[in-house]
Amino acid sequence: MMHARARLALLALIACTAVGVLVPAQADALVSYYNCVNKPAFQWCDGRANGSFDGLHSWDYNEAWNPGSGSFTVCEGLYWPATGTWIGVPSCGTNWVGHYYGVQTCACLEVNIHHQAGSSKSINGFADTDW
Amino acid sequence: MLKRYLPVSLIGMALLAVGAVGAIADRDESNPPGADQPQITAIEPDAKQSMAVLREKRSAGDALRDDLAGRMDRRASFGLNPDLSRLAIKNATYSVYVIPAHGHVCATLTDPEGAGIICPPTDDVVKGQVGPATAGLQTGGVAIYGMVPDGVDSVSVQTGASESIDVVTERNAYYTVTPSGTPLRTVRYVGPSGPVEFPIHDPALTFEGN
Repeated sequence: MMHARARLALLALIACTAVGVLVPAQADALVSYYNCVNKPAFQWCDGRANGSFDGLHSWDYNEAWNPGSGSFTVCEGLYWPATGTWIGVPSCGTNWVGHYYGVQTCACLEVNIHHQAGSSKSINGFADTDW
Repeated sequence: MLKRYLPVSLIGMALLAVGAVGAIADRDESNPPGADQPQITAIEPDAKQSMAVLREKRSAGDALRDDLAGRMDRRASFGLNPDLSRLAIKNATYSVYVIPAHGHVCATLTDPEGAGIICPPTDDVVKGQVGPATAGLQTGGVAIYGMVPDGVDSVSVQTGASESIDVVTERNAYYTVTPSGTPLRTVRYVGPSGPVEFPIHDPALTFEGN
């Protein structure tokens, strides 16, 4: 009897561990991770073509960073392909830049990043939305 | 008895191993670098020591707009805390705030809709080695802003072939706007570790590609 209880407890522990480990944490917001490897300077790298989330959405935060060593300028922008316009102001910083956009409700926006180094560099981006 | 529990234990260990690998995989370079930091509750001594604006008592005028502060609380990169912000430069449309973070100090340029933000390491702030940030404005002009430690009274924005604009710093920050079409070259200043110079470009200056 005691062995049965011990076995049950062990199985329960393993089951809880398995659920905790194998089911990814669910965030409240939709997020997108995207990146470009050895990207030439001044070329946009977008989350639609290079990201984990393949689509347009109502992004309200975008971030770009240098995942490697050294120091160079990285930029981010929020693009509305249907109108060919940028939302708010694209911005740049050294190695890391973020942008809190106003609340966006149109599921029509594309997140973009680029770098301004003298040679090709890898760059990473991250975006999320509360909608 | 050991034999009876061995298969179950092995399954458990295997699952834990998978979990460990998964946890490591989650921390690859795709993760935003400052995403896992807890929000700070007090300004760190190094930041306070090198920036007079962070030694000043915070007043109501130093607070960010509620909607923006709320968004920064939800996405607090590098553990930044908007409740510790200081207004450095106030303008009608755009303002620069300094926001302490964990091992970093952030500068944000607010606009009517949101805000761009940079968060260089505090070490770079202390040494006077923080590069400028730029923002492409709707007018076609480019806003240039950044942070400097105590003792840096002005920065020089190099434009065109040989022109320059001297920008006086205010409360450890600087901000200027160049008109649309101005060729941008560098921002220079002399910090505690000597002269520094950083290239600047129009954020909208890009070439085709994907």
